[in-house]
Amino acid sequence: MANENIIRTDRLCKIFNPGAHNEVEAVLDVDLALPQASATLIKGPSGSGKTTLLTMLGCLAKPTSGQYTCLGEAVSHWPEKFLTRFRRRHIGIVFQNFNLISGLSVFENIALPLYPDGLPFATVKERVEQLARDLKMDHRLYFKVDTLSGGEMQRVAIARALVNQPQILIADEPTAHIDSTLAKEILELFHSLNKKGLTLLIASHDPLLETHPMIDRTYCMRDGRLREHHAE
Amino acid sequence: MRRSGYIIEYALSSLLRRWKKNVALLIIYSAVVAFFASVLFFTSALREQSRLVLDPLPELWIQKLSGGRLAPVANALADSLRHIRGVRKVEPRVWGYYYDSPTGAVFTLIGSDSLFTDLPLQLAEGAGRLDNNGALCGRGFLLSHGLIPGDQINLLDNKGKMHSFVIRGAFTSESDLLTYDLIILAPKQARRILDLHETEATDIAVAVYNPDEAENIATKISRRFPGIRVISKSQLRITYEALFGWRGGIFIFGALISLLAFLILAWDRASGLSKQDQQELGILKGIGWDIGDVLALKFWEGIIIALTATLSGMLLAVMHIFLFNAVLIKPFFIGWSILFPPYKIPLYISIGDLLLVLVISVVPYLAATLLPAWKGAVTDPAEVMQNG
Repeated sequence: MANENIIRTDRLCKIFNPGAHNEVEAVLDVDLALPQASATLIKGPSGSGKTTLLTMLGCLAKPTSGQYTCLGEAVSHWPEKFLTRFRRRHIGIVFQNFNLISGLSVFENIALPLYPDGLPFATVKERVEQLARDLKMDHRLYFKVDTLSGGEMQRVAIARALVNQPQILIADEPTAHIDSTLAKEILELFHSLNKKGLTLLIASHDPLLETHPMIDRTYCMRDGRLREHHAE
Repeated sequence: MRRSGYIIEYALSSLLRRWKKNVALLIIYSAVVAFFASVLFFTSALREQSRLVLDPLPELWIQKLSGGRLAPVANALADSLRHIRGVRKVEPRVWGYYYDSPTGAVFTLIGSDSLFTDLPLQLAEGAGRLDNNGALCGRGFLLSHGLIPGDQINLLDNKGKMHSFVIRGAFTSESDLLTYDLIILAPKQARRILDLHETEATDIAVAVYNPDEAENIATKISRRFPGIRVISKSQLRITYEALFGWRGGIFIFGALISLLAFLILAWDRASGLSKQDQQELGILKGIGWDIGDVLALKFWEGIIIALTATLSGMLLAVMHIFLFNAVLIKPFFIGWSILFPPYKIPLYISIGDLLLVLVISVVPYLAATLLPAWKGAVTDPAEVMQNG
């Protein structure tokens, strides 16, 4: 699998309200081929379709047309139940605004994706504690997430995305709500994960990412269409 | 199994996170269940009570009707009744009601040397059980007049003549249900107060060898002695059951309407999942929970609330009925009275009643919350990404 394309799309489209007066062509004819352990940046202005593309690549939404093959499986038209299971096992997602569940502890937030699989608690605890150590959150493990700083919240969100040991990590604007120092920290974290073989797909318009050495390919999205961007 | 364990744990923590809302819900829900269960338990307890009271009574008793009104029955009739096949024992009874003008209460007056002699009595100093000038009184009579054993009571006959008796003993509180409003005199004295001739009785109690034959014997007596009314224990039991059943039915109807109103409220609340609820369900779906997981979460949340409220409601009902003697609903069932015996309701709960409360409370609540939860469960997981 080392040099195979872990993510491959063929004329992927997403059209909201097709045929209606308020039809929106959010993603149009996207062809993408990303090898394992690659780090890909998708940039583009707000409303260009980045997030919609990520929802399809993250198996959160089905395309209107086109093909999506992930880890060798043609998942584009799978029923939601199978798509959910596939996502849970192979894809980690870091959402904008962290999307943590307030009132729960750091431990509980990180462990949540493991609950449906019913893993033994010892395994759950071991994985969560290991991730917390890796992300330097072990000292805050039993704090409520509401008491954390923005950077800490982002690290919890990343830990939650990694707890199922995915092969792909999708991050939507991971540095949008944190200051530049924290942003650099988060990018270093992504870099180290990427070096360990994790395939990264990041949507962002943060210039820090564009110039970061881990990014091996950059795409630009505009009006739903994706173009490879070559550094000048 | 472990998956369910995690989901139950999460459901609990989810409820605790919104504890104010859920405590308010539990209070209302428990109160509605308590009301419904109180009526059900109380009606059952009354039925059981009437069964216990009726059990020791004779199978039949005979009254004489004159012009459609009750009239004294001749003692001689008792001798005739003794010869009817199947009759075990015949006992003329002397009893009636005594209106006590100072208190405005009506007491039960019985003339008997032997009745209730096995019940515990607090005797006056040096007194035997009962003599010609003595009286045994229930606590209601003594309390309403401020009397104690050894004191004197004055009773008027129907000509206005006063007769004095010495209270030889007082029945203790254990027999309140039977004796609270009771005055027992020697039969001869009771006849004077009740204006009954020596050869007359109020009614005649008839015991039979085979209770299953009681109705046949009643028919035989009615045919042989025109102008008398035969009352059987089974008729009395049916009357009590119908009375309590009818009153209970009205209350259960009211309680069911309350429950329905609550369920409509629950449906309304659940169908309009709050923004926070929807956001949370979206996150759970986004991180890999499927519809089944989300529905299981909502199911367990519903079960925890419904069972907690139902069990609390049933506990409250048990306390209300059997510890606080049904203080809130008793007057509606057994009437108001100046001197009604303050008896304790016997602890009686049937498995059927418990199951009925459980089913009527839990199942509709689960339906009222799970169906709208489906709407939340099918939230498009992509929304959580779009809404950030």
